[in-house]
Amino acid sequence: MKNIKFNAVSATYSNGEGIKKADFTLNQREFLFLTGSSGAGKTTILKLILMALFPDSGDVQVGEFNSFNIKKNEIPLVRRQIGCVFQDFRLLEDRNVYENIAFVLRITGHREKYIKRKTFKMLAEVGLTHKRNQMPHQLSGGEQQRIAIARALANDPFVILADEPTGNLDAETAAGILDLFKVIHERGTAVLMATHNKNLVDRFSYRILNLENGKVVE
Amino acid sequence: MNFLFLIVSDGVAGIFRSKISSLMTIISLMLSLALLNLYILLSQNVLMKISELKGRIAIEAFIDPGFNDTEIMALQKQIAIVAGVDSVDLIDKAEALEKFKEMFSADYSQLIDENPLPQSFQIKLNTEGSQEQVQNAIDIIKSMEGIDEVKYHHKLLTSLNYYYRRMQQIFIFVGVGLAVLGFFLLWVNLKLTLKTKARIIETMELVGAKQSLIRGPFYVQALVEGTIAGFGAVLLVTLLFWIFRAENLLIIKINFISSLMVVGGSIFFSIFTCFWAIRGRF
Repeated sequence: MKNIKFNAVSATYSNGEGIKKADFTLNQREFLFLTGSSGAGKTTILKLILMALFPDSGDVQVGEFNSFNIKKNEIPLVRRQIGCVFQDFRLLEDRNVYENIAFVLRITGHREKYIKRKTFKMLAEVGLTHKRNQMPHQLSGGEQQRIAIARALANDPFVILADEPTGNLDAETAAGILDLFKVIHERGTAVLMATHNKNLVDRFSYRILNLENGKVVE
Repeated sequence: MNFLFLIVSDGVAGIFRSKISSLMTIISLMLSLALLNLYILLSQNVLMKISELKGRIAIEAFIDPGFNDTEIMALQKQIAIVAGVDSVDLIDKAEALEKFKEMFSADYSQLIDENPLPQSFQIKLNTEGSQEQVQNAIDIIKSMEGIDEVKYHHKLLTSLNYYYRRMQQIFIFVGVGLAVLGFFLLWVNLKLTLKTKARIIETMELVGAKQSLIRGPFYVQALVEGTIAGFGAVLLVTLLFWIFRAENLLIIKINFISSLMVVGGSIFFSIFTCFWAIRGRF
């Protein structure tokens, strides 16, 4: 069973912001909302999971990897079993939609035949096969976020981290994106969604972790 | 997919993705190298020409008329081993008269019974020698027993030595300056590319790309750009000489080895700059 476990994790920046003694577990197939105002520490938690940041004390367990003893060259392996969706989409702007999805498959060493099949499958799932040759800047915000989700799912991760995924979208598009996350979760992928949008959280009956001044309150 | 193939294909694709930046890199590297190549070629030829001129200036050392053939031969050997001396030729009385006739286009030998011209040594000095070495060699020769008088174009030799040394210093200084300028241009170009790609690189890292996979294509790109720029620089210099029909003026000409050195230098220059520019980023 793969999960994410925070054991008394504290991580603070020089300005004093961060998280203090965070203890929680995200189980496999679970949907978890991470809420809190701006600067409460939501992004810090996501960075700790991605091992882009390391705790001052405590440790973070991601699947078989632990922040306490992970080697530098193992960090990409952690990230490959996590799918990431960001508020600002973070698509590779220098390549087209197809190449954006194919990239994450290529870095894991798959064969080109498999990459082609899987990329088309992911494009079909988000309904954007016809946009495969377009560049990211030619897509709408909602389309870009769908491609980001398709990319996040391409490597069959056990968890999807979503940092304010609807933050830059209008209400209608945001609803569509949330439905997509619901489907992803129902298929068995865990989802950790950071948001400060209380209305969005209230629409679902998933577990919520609230961050207040760096402390995690269930 | 093969890892190496992925790096190579992504590196080559990177050139087409950032066409303008790649073109700028190739052009700046090509112009810097062509300029440096042209400069080295011309400076070497100028130095060679001065050396050649220095080589033509011979020192004449007149021999004491009382010296016999054995003593003259011993003296010749003695001069030959002086530091800075390249060759010593004996000009006997008959040869001296011939030279005299050539110089003045007249034959005065019928007017006098005996050939009054003294025997002498024509000494050629090492062209690489400094002014101090030349002066030192002359002083030693002057002080030798059996040498009556030493004559040479003191002013010309001093001037040539001075200009040779000055030119050498200026050429090295400007050459290094040009190389540094080329390196700086490339470095700035690559830094700018990295800056514009910083977000893409960060995203690649976040989705699990290894450092080698992110760095690798930059090196491939540098290799391709360096190769194109190197060949371009050789072509440009050759073309310039062909257009101005200046190839015949050169003592040291453009050859295969020098061209190969330009291409090799370009590749090394390009990869080294790439390494220098990305080392702080990752």
